[in-house]
This record gives sequence, structure tokens and C-alpha cells, in this order.
Amino acid sequence: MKKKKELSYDSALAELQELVGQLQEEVISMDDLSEKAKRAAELVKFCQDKLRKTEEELKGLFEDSTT
Amino acid sequence: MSYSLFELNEFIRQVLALNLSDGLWVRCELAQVKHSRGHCYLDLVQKSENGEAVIAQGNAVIWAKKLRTLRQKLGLESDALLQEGMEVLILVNVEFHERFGLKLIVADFDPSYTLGKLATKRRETLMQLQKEGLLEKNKKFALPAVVQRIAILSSENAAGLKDFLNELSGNDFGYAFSFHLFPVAMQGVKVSAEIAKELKNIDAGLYDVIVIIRGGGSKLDLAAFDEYEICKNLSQASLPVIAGIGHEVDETVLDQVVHTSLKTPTAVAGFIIHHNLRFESQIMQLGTEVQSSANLLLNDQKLMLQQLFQSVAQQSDSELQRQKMMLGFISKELPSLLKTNITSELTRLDMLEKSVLFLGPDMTLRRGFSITQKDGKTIDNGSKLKPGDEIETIFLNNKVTSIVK
Repeated sequence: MKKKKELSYDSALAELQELVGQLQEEVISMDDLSEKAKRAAELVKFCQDKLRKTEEELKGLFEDSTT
Repeated sequence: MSYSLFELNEFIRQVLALNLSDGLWVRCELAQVKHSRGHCYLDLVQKSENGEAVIAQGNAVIWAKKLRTLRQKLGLESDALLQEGMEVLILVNVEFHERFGLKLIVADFDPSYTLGKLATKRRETLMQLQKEGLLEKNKKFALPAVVQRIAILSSENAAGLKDFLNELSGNDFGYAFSFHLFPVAMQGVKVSAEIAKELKNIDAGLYDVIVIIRGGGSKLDLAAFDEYEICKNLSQASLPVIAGIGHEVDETVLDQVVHTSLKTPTAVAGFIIHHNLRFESQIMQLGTEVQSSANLLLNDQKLMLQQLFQSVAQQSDSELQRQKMMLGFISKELPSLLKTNITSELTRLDMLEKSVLFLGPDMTLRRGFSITQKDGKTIDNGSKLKPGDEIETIFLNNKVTSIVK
């Protein structure tokens, strides 16, 4: 699968959810399974990174103004 | 028989002297008052009931010596009383001189008569003004919030003018004032006409108030300010009028038609300063209120902003946690899902294998059938073989070679 240029959290999550849906329904061909599993792992990592980054940014934002 | 003129006049003098030997109290109006060499010459008149026609006229004199005595006795009132237009009750001796003719020599006068006349006239004036709605007219003006530009109706040498100017200029609060004096007589017959004239010269756009002031004077001096014309003109002035015409006891009619009446010029100055001071303190009060309102508003907004910040922080955090949980759930489930997918594929393969086995030749051979082949190819029809062909028969566990006959 091609990697999109600017992946957003929302689109990453949507893709991930679709993959999980496909896995649950077991409609993925074995030829694609490994690749799709890799993609899923990649998306999970992307989303986790994004969340962690967001968390860091939020912490910095509100530390100043609430004092 | 005839008489010389002197004899006639002498006779008249004797008749008069016999019949009018004592002084007489006479009521009349002063038509003209002239001072000369210390003596005071009076033109006396009596007017008809409607006040128009002169029905009697005479000349009187107050000799200098008598005048001094009267001044000592009556004080300031004597000069105030001896004004044109005054109605007076005078004690006179009737004298006739052969050469100079008839003359009334004034021995005394009764100021209370004049005051009484004035009081009556004053009441009439008041009633007239009231009827015309002029008593309240000037009072309907609202004083400007700040009084700074002052038109002064006064006499240049009036005692109170200087007091007034000093009081205003030297005020403790540093308020600035501009003055314009419109000079008018403040006593005597000219007062009414001069005030009427100067009132017309006052441009209402250039001033905040008109002030009419004079220092103290006698009660009779104030009579001018009871006159109908003067009061009417002032009541109809185009600006509020403040009066301080220097009196302690009685109010004049003028005091009742003006916007504000005070006793002295100094009191007028004090009133104006106090008026301005009240405005300044109101402004300061408003300033304080604006400041505290602004502070309140600012604090409210600060609080609201703080709450918004907190709520944004909380919402973002909880959204973050939700996403984290979801992602955690997905990533945890992924391996088992993948495994399930592989397992079910394996199961399917297994089943396929079984099917293959089931449908394959082994099961047929097991049931006692055999397969015939020639040169490695399965023969499904015997007519394809000729005698002498070598064929192979395959059983479940072995195979036999034979020749076709």
C-alpha cells in the first residue's frame, strides 16, 4: 500500500478501523494479510505518536495560563 | 381805584399767611428733583386717577440746612426718597414772595407713606406678572452644568461688583471665569430703561448666565427693582438670571422673577462656585464608578477565561485519553485478529485437503476397483487397445503387467 503524503490522525484512525473491520469479517486475502498487518501496525504507531505529541503540547499550553 | 403789582402780591402774601400759617401735609409725586448749591428743588405733580394727566402742579424747595437735618434724621432713605417718580407725603409751609411768587418750603417728609405706596405698587406689579406667567418664566431655565461665562448687569462703581469679581477670581478651586460688564445705573429713574437696553446687547450664545448685582443700599433705592418693566424684561431674558442686589430684609419683585435670588454679590459668586464644584464632584464620582465597573468587568472576564482554559484543558485531556484507549484496544486486538485470520485459513486448507483425499483414486481402489494404464496413460475405454499391447493394472497396494490377447 502506498504511503500518503500528509497523513492525518483522523484518516489514519479511519483506515485502521477499516482494517480491523476487514480482519473481523475475515475478508482479507492471505496474499495481502501480512502487508495489511504491517500497515495496521504502522498506523497504530502513527496514531500513538500523534497522541503523545499532542499530549506534550497541551501540557505546555495550559501550564502558563492557569497560574 | 387800582393797585400796584407789589400791593397785589403783598395782599396775596398776607391772605396766605393768615389762612395757611401752619405747615400742611401734602401728598404728591416728585416730577423732577434738582440739587443746586446744597438746596434741593422739587417739581411736584398730582396725576389723574388713570395716571396719565397732570391735574395739579407746584414747586417746592428743601433748603440746604433743612436737607442736612433731614439726612441726619432719615439717613440714606432721604436721598432714596428724593427721586423722580416717588410718591411722597411732605410737610410744607406755603410761602408767597412778592417778587418770586408761590413756593412750598419743605419742613419734613414721611418715608412710611412712600414705602406704603411702594408696597401697594409692588403687590400690583407682582399680581400683574403672575397673571402673565412671568414669575416662573426665568426659573424654567436649567443652569448649565458649569457656569463660567458671566454677563454682569451692574454699575461700574457699584460697591458689590468688586467683591463679586474678587470672590470669583480668587476661588479656591482654580475655576476660570470670563466676565463682561454691561453697565447700567443701579439706582434712580434710569435703571429700568438701561437694563432694558443692555439686556438686548447680551448675546445668549456667548454667556452661561446673567448676573445682576449691586452693593447694599436703602430700602427706597430698591424701589426700582419693583418696577413692572424691569421685572418683565428680566423674566424674559434669554439666559438664567442670578440676582444679588444687596438687601437683607425684604425681597424685591425682581428677586421673585429671576432664576435664583441671593442676598449679596458675594453670595452670588459663592453660589456659582458651589454650582461648579458640585459638577466637578459629580464627574469625579462618575470617574470612580467607571473605574470600579471596569475592574469588575475585567475580573469577570478573567475568571471566565480561566474557566474556559481549564475546561479546554480538561476536554482535550479526556479526548486524548479516549483516543488512547481506543488505539490501545485496537493494537491489543490486532495480533489475535491476525492469528484468527491465519487459523481460519489453515482450517480451510485442511478441509480442502480432506476433500481432495476423498475425491481422489485411493478411495476407489480401496473399494476393489483398479486402474488400467498403457505407457503411463489411463485407459478409460477397452476398444482403444489392440492384441499384443502391454498394459499395467494398478491396485491399491501394487500393480501387475499383462498382454492383451
